[in-house]
Amino acid sequence: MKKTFTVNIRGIVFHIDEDAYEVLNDYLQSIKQYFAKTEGGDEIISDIETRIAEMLRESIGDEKQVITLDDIGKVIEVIGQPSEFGGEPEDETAWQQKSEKSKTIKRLYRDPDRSILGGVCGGLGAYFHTDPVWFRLAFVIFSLPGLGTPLLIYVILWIVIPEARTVAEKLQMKGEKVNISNIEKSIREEIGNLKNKFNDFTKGAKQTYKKKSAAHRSDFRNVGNALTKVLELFVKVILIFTGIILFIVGISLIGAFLIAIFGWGEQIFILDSELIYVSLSAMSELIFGNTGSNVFFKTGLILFVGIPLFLLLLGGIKLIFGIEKTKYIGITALNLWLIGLILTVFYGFKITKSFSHNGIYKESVSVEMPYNSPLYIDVKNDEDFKRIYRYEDYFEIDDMNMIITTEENDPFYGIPQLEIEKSGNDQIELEIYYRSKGKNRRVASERAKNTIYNYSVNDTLMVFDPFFKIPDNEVWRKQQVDLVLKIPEGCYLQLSENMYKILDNRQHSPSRFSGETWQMTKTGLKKSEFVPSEREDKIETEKEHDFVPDEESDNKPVSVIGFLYIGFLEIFGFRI
Amino acid sequence: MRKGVLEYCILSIINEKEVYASDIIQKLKEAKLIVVEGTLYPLLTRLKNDVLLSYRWEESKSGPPRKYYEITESGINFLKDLDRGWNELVEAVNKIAGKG
Repeated sequence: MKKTFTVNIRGIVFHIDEDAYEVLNDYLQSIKQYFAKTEGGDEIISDIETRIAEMLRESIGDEKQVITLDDIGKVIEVIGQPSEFGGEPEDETAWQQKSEKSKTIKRLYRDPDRSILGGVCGGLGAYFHTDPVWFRLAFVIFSLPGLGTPLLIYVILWIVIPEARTVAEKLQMKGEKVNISNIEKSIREEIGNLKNKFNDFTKGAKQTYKKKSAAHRSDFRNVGNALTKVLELFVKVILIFTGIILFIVGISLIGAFLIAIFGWGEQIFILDSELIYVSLSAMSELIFGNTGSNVFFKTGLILFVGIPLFLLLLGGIKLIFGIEKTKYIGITALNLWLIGLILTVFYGFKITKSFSHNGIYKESVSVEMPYNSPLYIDVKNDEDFKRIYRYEDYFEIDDMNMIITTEENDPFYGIPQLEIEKSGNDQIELEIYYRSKGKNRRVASERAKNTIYNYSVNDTLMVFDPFFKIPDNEVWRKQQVDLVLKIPEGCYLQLSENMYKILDNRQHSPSRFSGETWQMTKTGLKKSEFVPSEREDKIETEKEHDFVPDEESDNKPVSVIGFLYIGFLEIFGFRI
Repeated sequence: MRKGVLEYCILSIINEKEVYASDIIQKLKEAKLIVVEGTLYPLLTRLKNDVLLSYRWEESKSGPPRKYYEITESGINFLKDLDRGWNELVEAVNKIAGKG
């Protein structure tokens, strides 16, 4: 298939192939230049055009309707190149020029065939036999900080350097050997242009109506061309500007995305005490464990989110450098993105499913109410826990009570929540609910049972661990440990100062309850003046606390990005 | 030199009968005086501008209207001068070249 133009030569309409048109157009241009200086040149040109029309008319028939390159070749062979015309007043100069035949003339032109703005860089590239992209890069790079001088230089070059319009000029621009006719062409064109302009003023009155209107038409066309050029430039500047913005946005988003996926060097890092960051990669590993699913899910996410960002960046680059088509990138990107989409959706569903059912495993202990003595409740001050229970070392998402340590290969931990209720009988009852999510009730309950939580109970003393542990080989499924302590009416309760660590702040204000003695009454816990006698078997607790909660710390440190993750996870429909 | 000869030939061809550009080209090509058609058109235009020949338009079945050239009064006179000049030149050259 070929593109065809419709041209009108001396009133006859022809369909002509694109390549044939280019050649014919160049040929006619060279003839026009050649006769530009000759008196009666217009008439000669119209005679030649008439002859061309006639010959072309003969070359087409019922079967062959389109003028081909071959036909044009024959026409040019018959009519001849301007250099072959000879017999003209310029005989002598022509001969002189013939002697300069071997000289290679190289001129700086703007290259309209490889232009993005004005073709300045294209022309420079042709002149220095370099890829124009280096000049473009230089202009763009040096324009970025100063935003001035290089742009001004470009505009000046644009104005000063002429555009290469004809074959000869394009040859000269590339410094290719120019033959006699091409040299003539360029010289005559310059003279001819001047003469034409001059003629328009002096001969205007003498010209026939036809010629006049033709000239006016070309004037209007020139004005139109200029306007079009200005408009094109405007559009191009806007496109390039948009390209730069797309580029910057793309780079930033890709950077942010990579950090979100892989973290900043390590999977968990802390920006400041308020903002603790867990990479998606770490999150994915928590959910999937160290399995193939983890890798696939991450790959899927990278493709699903990364490909559009990459295309954004690519689009920017394309706009800046005026790259027209990039074969295969689109289709490859689409395929990769679809793979990403499928993986993400598949594992998204998998995650949703594995969080779909609740499982509970319950333990309960009951002890007699101590006589004339309060029940002493404390939180163990384990060295191991103390190590991670430092403000900077753990990560907590809202009230999910999950802790991920920055330590490599550490199990992750959760904070149990203690709730104190009124008992229905005379017994002190402790109920421990291990909760977890799973793809079905059985799996969820199994997982809940796997949670490790240590506590000790005797008739007057209860000591709780501040953390529960999820074993190394277990994945995170929103494990929780809820402690419900049921206290009969009249029983005294002494809470150690460490109790704030596990008291459920939805029921009790941890800082108000900790370190005080309480009595269970009909209406609930009331502060008591009961001063218990010194106990001998009281557990040694360290009085020193690294972490003393103030009023604000009731709002547990919540990571902004943590919230983002919640949002992200909820997108996949898994309710936390 | 050759230029003058070409013009002389063109005028001679037109003097015989009213002709179309292609006819002139045909004859000049047969005589190997020109190689490409492009040479002819500037000459015809110049001769017309010097009022040595004129043309009239004629519709063509196979293309745009054609120019048919015919010689003018002054063209005939100029041709007579050229004839005379050419004969003189040939005689002179022959005499010198020893062919007379």
